[in-house]
Amino acid sequence: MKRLYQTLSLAEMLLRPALRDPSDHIFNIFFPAVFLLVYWIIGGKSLGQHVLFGSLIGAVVNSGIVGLPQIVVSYRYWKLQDMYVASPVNQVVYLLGHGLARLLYAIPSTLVLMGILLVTRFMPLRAVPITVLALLVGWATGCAVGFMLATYIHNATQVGSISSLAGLLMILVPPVFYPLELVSAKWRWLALVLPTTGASQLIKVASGASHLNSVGYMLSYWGSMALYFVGCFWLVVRRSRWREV
Amino acid sequence: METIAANNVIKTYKDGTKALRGISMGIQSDEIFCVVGPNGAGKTTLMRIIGTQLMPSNGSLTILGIDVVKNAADIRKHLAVVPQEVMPDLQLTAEEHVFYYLCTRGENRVKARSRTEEYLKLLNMWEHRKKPALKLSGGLRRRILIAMAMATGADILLLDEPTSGLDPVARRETWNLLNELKVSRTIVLTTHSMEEAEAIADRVAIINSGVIISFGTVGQLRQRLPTREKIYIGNGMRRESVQRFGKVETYGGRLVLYPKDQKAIDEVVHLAVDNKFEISVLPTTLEDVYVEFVSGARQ
Repeated sequence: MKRLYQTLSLAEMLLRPALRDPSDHIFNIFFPAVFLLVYWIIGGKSLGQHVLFGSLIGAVVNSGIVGLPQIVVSYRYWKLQDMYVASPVNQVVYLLGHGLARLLYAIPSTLVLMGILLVTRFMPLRAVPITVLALLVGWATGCAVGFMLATYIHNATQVGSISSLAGLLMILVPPVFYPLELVSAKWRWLALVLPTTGASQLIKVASGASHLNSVGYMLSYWGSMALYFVGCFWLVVRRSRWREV
Repeated sequence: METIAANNVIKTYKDGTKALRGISMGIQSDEIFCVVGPNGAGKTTLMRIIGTQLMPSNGSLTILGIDVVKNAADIRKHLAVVPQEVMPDLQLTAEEHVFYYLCTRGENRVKARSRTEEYLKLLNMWEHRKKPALKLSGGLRRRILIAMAMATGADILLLDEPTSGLDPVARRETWNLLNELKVSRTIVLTTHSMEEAEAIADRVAIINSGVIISFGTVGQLRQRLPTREKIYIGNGMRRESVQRFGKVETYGGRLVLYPKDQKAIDEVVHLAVDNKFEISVLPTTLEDVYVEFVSGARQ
């Protein structure tokens, strides 16, 4: 319980500025609209729904991969992290506190996107529980990857570009904003290596937007997310540079 | 038992820089222990190893009898640090910094709230509590970080140049507060201000090039100088005319003589009075000890 309290306290602290100045949320909510517009023009309605699914995944996973390293590296650069290292706060509490703050930060845009998906009937109500679960696992995986990046990036000026590139690789390259069916069958395994494909496919399958729902595919969706999450979390606990050598 | 016990602590960074070359010392409870030394001497490295933020390369260091390498997690609940050049989160207020830092360390919200108020008031920050750090001056930002560490009530406070950037009044207030806080605690701080070390330290270690070159109370360190007095001589007198009376240094165009004995003092005073030079005889300070040892070590 103490660890949970510590995590929530840290997350609450990090959210304070966003609550005082919600202007960033407006940007986050409208940012996916740019993709939506472009894809809708190019691919029509069918591709448009994939953009909405992709934006949903992007909002949550990128909060971990892109947002988390930036604030973690800033705290390290300001040497505030040193004050937490030399305290009863361990690296898992620190990671989860920062990650939870980013997740809560992403909630307004996530709710708007889910609302649009539900209203437009691209997502049925029965798909909501699996969507929330996939988003949570995607968030946790994104946080673990983001924290790993943060621990290995020393230069505060590089963090923005490296984490944005990682976010781009995880969100825009794999079939998150477009259907997995567009990838030829012999290369689909490559797309499934990335956990964002798994998270997006779980939501799309539950919403009827993808028919690649055989047992093998479903196992690979869950498997890639679980592997990334466990692997990165293990690395965070065991290998992250919480204490310098 | 010593609260902090270092035995031949060595730190070599990956690029080969030898920051610490064998530090051995003991720091007691109820004392303010001051580490002084020139830039790059290894003070911050030593503080970071004690603060469990950095691994030593060799040697052993225990805090409250617990090994910093093997059981860092057990030590951390007893520690609070203010790192050198630390910056607050510019978007958080002074109150949020202290309150949430305490909560994140595991303090319950009621106690965290009251300690936040207590320490912000003690550090004269209460009127600024609702302002984001962005809108505060450098000195006030520094006070937020000191309040964060002090409010924890940790057994061991590690303060790396805590008063740099504070105005003289705020510095003295912080010294008084540290003096009150040292009861049943251990406070280790680094500073470049010998006045600060002299004012608050129970014991001082002078560190240079990764080794302790002198160690003891301010009084003990002063006794290691060959003289108890120094003589400031006004502009105009030539160095050669006083060199026979002791060691002569030039600071800002003025001669400073460290006389070899009482007879030398009397003779220099007569010489200055006869030639109508301004002269003042003052007791030696920790700064003189520091300059003597550090410049001696460099030679």
